[in-house]
Amino acid sequence: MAPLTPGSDFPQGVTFTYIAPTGSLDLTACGLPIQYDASKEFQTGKTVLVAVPGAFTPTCQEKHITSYLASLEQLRAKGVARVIFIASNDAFVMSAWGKANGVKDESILFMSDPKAQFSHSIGWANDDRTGRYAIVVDNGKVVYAAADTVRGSIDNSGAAGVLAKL
Amino acid sequence: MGGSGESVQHITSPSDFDSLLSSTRYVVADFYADWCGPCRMIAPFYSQMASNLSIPGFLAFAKVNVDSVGALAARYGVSAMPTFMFFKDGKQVAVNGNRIIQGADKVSLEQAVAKMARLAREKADAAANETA
Repeated sequence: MAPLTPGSDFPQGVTFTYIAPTGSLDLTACGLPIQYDASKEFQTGKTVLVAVPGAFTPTCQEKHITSYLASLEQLRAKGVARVIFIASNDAFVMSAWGKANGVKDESILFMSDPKAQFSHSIGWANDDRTGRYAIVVDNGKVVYAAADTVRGSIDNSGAAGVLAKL
Repeated sequence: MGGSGESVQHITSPSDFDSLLSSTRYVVADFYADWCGPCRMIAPFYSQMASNLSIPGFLAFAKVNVDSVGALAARYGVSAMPTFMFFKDGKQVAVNGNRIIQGADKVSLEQAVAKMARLAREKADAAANETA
């Protein structure tokens, strides 16, 4: 287990699973989870990776994702190429959560950290669920990594906290 | 060969699909999963088109189960089911501007297949005239 610190390289071999958005919110197609090579993709551009304990759960739904939905333009203005939400929920649930929040394109990607494996590897997970944290990776380098451990707080991992550090 | 019998080509492996692509000038492929509701909904329509429109050597309707033949789903980047794809002389092509139809979109599928069937029929007739 190695905590991420600003200045260090984003670890190798990190993959998530997700269902690619189809540009629609309807249910006439079933998603097929595919693997996402995070370590490879994060080598280029600026990434904001946000972990939440659970899709559809209270704080995550009411505050966390809403903060990012409201701040997408500001994030883009600061050069963020991709915003990815992860949780230990499987790719099907994450895909549905994205659609439930009206996201049908790649503006925010919803992915699964199966068994919270990656989150455990950086010390920010509790049993089956990931912790609540945000990491900013700039061309492969970690430039921000902070977790929120106070119940209900998104000070460090919400959009405002991340924007302040970009 | 129209009318009775199972006309859909159930693909069992990537090489099975490659064989079909090299033996049949126009191929429609349905990438599906057993657990996918929309796939089950459009399946009877797809079977019916296969029965009515297949022309050996010129037009075939393939079905690829993404769980059984994952390698093919990966090869063509299938990310949602059903996904319909179109092939001419072994290469994926766009029909009516669509390289793929994603989802149980009966209307778009019917239009695309109608076009493929027309082109396949022309080629089949031309070939028959050559040998006549």
